[in-house]
Amino acid sequence: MACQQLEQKQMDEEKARLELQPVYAPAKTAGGKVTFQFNLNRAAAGDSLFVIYSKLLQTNLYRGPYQTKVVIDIDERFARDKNFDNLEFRLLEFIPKQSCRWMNERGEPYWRPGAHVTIALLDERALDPHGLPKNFDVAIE
Amino acid sequence: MDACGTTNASGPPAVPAPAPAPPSPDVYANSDSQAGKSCSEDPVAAPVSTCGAPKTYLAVKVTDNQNLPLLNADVSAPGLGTRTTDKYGLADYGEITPGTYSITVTKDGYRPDVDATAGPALVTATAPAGTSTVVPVQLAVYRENIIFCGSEMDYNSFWLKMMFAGASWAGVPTLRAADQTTLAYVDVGYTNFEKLAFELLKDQKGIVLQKVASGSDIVDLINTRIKTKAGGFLGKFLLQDVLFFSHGQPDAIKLNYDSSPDVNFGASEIGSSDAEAFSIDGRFVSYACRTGVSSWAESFSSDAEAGPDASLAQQIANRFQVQTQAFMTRSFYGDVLREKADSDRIASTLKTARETQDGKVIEIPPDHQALPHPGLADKRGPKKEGTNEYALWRKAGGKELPRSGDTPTGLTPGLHVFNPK
Repeated sequence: MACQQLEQKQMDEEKARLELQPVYAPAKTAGGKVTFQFNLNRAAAGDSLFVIYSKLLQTNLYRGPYQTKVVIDIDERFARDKNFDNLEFRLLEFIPKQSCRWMNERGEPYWRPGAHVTIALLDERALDPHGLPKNFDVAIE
Repeated sequence: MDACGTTNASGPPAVPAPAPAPPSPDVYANSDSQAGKSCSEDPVAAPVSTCGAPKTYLAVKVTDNQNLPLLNADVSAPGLGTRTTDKYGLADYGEITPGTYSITVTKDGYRPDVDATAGPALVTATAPAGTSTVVPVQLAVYRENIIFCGSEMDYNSFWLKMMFAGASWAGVPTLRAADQTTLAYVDVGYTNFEKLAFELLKDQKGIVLQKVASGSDIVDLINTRIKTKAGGFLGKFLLQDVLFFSHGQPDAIKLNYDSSPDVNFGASEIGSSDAEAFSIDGRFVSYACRTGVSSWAESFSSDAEAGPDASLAQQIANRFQVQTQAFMTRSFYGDVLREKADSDRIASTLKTARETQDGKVIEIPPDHQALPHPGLADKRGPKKEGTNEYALWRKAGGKELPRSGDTPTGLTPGLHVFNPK
């Protein structure tokens, strides 16, 4: 996890920047749902802006208040790389004012329709079994 | 077809291409003037002539000082007009009136020869009646090599903090001779002691240092390279060898991965870069992870499955029309600064020396130093090892270039060559 303390002005700018970014909308021919479960409790996240970014689609999949459960409607675009993607999570916390980012080097097959994905956001960077840095653990069922 | 029955107006050049630049004008007698041959039999005269009158043809072939053809050079001659060279370096005037012509050749960033201060190149050429003449013109070019060196903010490790800097040192001997070599580095997370590694390249090898803090900075460095040389020549140094030592993912070469600000070289930066920034024999090598694939998957049954045709490496090759080399796998920098087998000795020497020299630069004979880095790897494991709050450096720089790693699985290791399409 890389967290950065922010001044009010920085916080406002970062919030404005994130809110200007486009957010994915599923195609009409949706291909199912994938449910994400996060480990931070709502109190820990406080008032916040939470963003899930897909490197596969190069867009935000979710932007809104932090929630422990987020459901993403997926379409055929998510299947084009054997269901793999590399996700990045950003949390802009208003109290205390800080911006945190979690990203892993390895991608995961998140996008199997009906999958339940549990994400454990880590307090400290760790190494995965391949020796690659990770900032969150992933379990896919 | 003209009045004489010669087809030449929009068709073939007067002289077949490509051919190495000859040292002096090549003059070929046209078939029309050779007894015993019909107008259409001679292989030298490309235009198909259907009558017997002798024709005179002129072309100018422009090359650089390595005899490589130059595209888009401007060629002009009073009475003949202006032409632009094709990919073979040829400016074809077709049929002309026999005579002597003063030919001027210019191309942005080029000079008439290595001692000249400025263009254009001036050549006087005579085209006798009934001949095809190729006038060779050679221009000289300033060449610049650039090494891009990223920050290492991902591993938080004594062993790896300086891996990109060490690899940059190892990359210097692989560069071809150039008028200037620039090291562009991301000034994030390096202490002053660590930045001496860059300063030494400047002092010992005359390398120009430049900081980059965004993808736009990288693009600017590629696009805007106006230099003033002694002698007054003001021109563009064309890129020759460009190396990247940094983190990377399929969507971008990431020079400040897992830190802020983003310093990425991806599709948008490639698209914003000057397509003619490189010399014709330019070379681009990425030692970042996975520049040669477009897929995020972690296992493949073949190289083709990883989408190399849509990779950054292929985009770079296509954009700049230069050969590009890149790994399809992740990169392995673990042996750049030391052999793994030497780790215990290095750690133990450092731990002992810190009992009396903690906080100072510590020599680890014969090849290494430990550079103080407050806060680095300040965790239980490194503390036990004695390597916390220090960064490893090898005094001669990296002992080898990074290699391709083991993941994603199923991909051919090593640098892959991507040719322009």
